[in-house]
Amino acid sequence: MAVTTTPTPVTTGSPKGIHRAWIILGILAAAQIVGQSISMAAGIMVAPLNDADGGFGWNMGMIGAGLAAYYLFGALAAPITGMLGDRYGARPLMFACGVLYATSMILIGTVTHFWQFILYFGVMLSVTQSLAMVPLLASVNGWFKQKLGLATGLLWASGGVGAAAVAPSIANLLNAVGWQQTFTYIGLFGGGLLMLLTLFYRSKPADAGTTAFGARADDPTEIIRSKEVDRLRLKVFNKAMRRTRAFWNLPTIHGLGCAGHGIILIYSIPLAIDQGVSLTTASYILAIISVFSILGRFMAPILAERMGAKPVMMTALFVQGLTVMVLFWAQDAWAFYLFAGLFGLGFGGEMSAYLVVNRQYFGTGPLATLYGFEMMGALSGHAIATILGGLAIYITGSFNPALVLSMFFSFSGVLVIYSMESGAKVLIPDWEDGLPPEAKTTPQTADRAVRAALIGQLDSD
Amino acid sequence: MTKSKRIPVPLTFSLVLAVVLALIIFFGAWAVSADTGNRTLAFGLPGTTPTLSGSNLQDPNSGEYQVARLASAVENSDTWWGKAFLRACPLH
Repeated sequence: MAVTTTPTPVTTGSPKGIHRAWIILGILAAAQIVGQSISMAAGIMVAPLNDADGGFGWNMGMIGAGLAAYYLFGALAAPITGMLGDRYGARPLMFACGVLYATSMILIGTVTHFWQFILYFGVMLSVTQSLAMVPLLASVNGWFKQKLGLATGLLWASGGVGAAAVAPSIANLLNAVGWQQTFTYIGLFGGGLLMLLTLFYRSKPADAGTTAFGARADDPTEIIRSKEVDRLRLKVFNKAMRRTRAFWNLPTIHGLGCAGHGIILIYSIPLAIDQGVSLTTASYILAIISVFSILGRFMAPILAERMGAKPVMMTALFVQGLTVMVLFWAQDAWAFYLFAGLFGLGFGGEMSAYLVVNRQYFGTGPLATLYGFEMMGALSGHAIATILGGLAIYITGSFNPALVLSMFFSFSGVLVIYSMESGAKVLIPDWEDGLPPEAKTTPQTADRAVRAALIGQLDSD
Repeated sequence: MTKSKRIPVPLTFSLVLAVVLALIIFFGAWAVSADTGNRTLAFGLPGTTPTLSGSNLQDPNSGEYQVARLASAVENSDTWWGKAFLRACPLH
């Protein structure tokens, strides 16, 4: 098990003075938009699949089963893609994501039987989205020693803006060229773009012969180890993480938060229509939520880095839960719009701070696995929201129980965050104690790494 | 950091999991046993807007939506999943 120590110079990695990390961030933002287009396509394809006069004529139960499979396989795939990201790096997974995206989308264009829809959409595209969202997003952690909050905020905000632009584009394509060609074009464009971006993307700074943004000359040197040693270190690191409460609580919080806003995203329009608001007017509710969520997505990671993640996440979830109360009395369009703006801020802030929280709790180690489990929680939360919200409305004939459930989930999330450890210090500073001597970072280097992470946090404050 | 060999699943995680499972069983059993007439099963699929009146509103230019209803020919309490919900829920 060979271990070599190669000092890495503090360089920007770009000849024009822009640090390579910002170029990587741009690539990841593009990958985010491609990944988001999958869930956008999901919403838009329901109408043609359900159209009795169209080529499919499937009922809502069948389409619902396809969407349920999408959530289920997505939740199962998220931790696996996270582990793969930690083990092989995000770059090969970006290429795999491009190939899988193109293949799945082109195959969806050829769907004639229900089992094909389950396989191509429910299984293949959920794995594709997992690849795009988990290891790629988590890789930003290694590229930013400082300003991780800003980088994460920009990434999430661009994803939100992109998603808003992708939805009408897909709808227009469907109207213009039909089902098969639409998905062929989307597959070739999105998949091709991801494969092309792989050429310029690097999983970590050392692969590009540079250092992370914000790295200092006195930071611990990057150690290049054999694959066996890296694998062992990953195993021990994950084992140490699993023994903390935060490892279990973070996916729980993401699940509760997503269940809380999932109910609202699904049922706020039907509720407005039930209160006498027209469909066209009601459709702006989701648009307003999306616009205001961009501000929440952008600000939450930045504030989490400055103030600590716990208060920011608690505030975001509290706002998300509290604003639902407006819906109990809302009858006019303006009340729904007011709700949408306030709710959007909380909803956006709920989802985007996890990469910063992970850094605060677990330092700069390989965190894609943890992020995978957090995404597993998020997708499970959305599935639970759909099922429980639907059942509650069906049984009681009222939207109120679903709203109560949404608030219950959000406020439960606040309580779980409150019960968590402080993010002021790394929870597993001594995780290397479980390693054999040849796989350890030298005690001096490990010490400096922890100290550097703490100084970085203090600097941000 | 806990030093025990067993992975310590925290109480909060176990509690949330138990509550969510209990809610699914409770609402599932209630749905199976409830007499809801022709009410639409409101699973809020994207692109549809289920309402409590039992009809799905939609884009006026599109065709009719085919709505899955629980009030079908087969009683839900006779299905395997309906029986499972009723058996699992102590309140129904």
